[in-house]
Amino acid sequence: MTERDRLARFETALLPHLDAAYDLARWLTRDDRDADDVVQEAYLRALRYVDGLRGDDGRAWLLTIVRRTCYTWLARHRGGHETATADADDVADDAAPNPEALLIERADRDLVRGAIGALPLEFREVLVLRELEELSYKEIAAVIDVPLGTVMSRLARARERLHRDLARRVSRGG
Amino acid sequence: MKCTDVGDLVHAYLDGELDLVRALEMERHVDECPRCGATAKRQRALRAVLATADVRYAADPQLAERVRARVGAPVADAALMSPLASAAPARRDRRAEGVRGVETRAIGTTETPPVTRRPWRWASGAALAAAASVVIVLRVLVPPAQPPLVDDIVASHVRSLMVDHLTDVASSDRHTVRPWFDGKLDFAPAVNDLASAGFPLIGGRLDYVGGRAVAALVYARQKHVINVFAWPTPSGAAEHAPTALHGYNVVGWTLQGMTYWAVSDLNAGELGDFASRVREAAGAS
Repeated sequence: MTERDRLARFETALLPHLDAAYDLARWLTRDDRDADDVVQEAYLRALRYVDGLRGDDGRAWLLTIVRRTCYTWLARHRGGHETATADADDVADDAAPNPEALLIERADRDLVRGAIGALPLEFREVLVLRELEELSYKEIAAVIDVPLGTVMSRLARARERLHRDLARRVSRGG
Repeated sequence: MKCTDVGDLVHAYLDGELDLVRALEMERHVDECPRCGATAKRQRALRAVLATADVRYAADPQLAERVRARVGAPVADAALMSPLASAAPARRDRRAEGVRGVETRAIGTTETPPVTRRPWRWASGAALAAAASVVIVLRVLVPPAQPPLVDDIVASHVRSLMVDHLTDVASSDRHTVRPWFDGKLDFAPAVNDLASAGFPLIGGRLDYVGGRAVAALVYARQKHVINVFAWPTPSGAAEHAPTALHGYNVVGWTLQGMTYWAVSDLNAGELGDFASRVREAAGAS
């Protein structure tokens, strides 16, 4: 592939997914400027490997690179604390829904963003990939490199946890 | 369907990730089971909130230009649309110098408006080393390192187990299974009776692998399931190196104008034994 072909491929297959790339980076780094930097770095790497991209839909492929770039960034700048997995709070997954549980419709944008941002990284990423970027289970499995069944169970736990947290935040008024 | 069989499948159901048969079963189950019904209700409420709260973060309108500048792509089309159009020629100069990459990104920013909001923070020696290690990791993680076909085969295998939809035609009789594919596919897969060797036939189904409809033949080995995917290929005979992905063993071969891939959680030795028996049976028929 010539340099010109690669840049053309870059324009048509990768740049259209800039919003998705930024959104994922923003959720994983939780910072506007860090996300900006990570996206630029991810695109630089994506161009280097664009020969390996098959098909015209580069979205899941690009998001794989964005996610890896975020992880490297987090390990470097936040000492790896961010990569910690779900904590002990998760045992309440099967707890009966509380009476406020169905009042989450009152949640506004800031409150929902706060609740998603508070999810452990491994839950946050599957939730964002599915609910905000609307990837299929199969695409998510490829992006985060786990089996399909793990995508399903992790997404289930992420959602139950988010619902519970939202209900809590709504009931105490944000 | 009992609730204990369902587990997280209610999520796959709500996400439209189940095949039709299984989705209809889940629909009935969610109606009847208070616990799964409550889960579905909570999740629909959550989905509604996520849909209306508009929580996605939008990239800065200038980010596309910064990305182009960073990778050395032409910015002409961006310049037409951008209030920063006057900065475009300077960025082209950088490109003409072949300036690209982490090491050199600060060059050329003094006489032009900054193309990035701040210096790239990874540009220290240690960070470059870290970036180099990421490049190595990426070589492993990003396609094409893993043949996409193997990915697809393993994903289809897992899906066939996950949604409990192993077979469209359930029969241990190859004279039932093989004709079932007639009219559904434009080829006839070899279906073998290997029960005497300890690999009973369970049935067959249609599946989709590598962008085409394929025949999936299902065999068992004790409690292990083996999926064999088959489709026609123009080339003659070949054997593909056995491989493993996500804990599943995969082995493929091409024989008499058909490509076969067998996948299972069975150990590699037994799967290899199975594959050679299928090849022998096909050669003898």
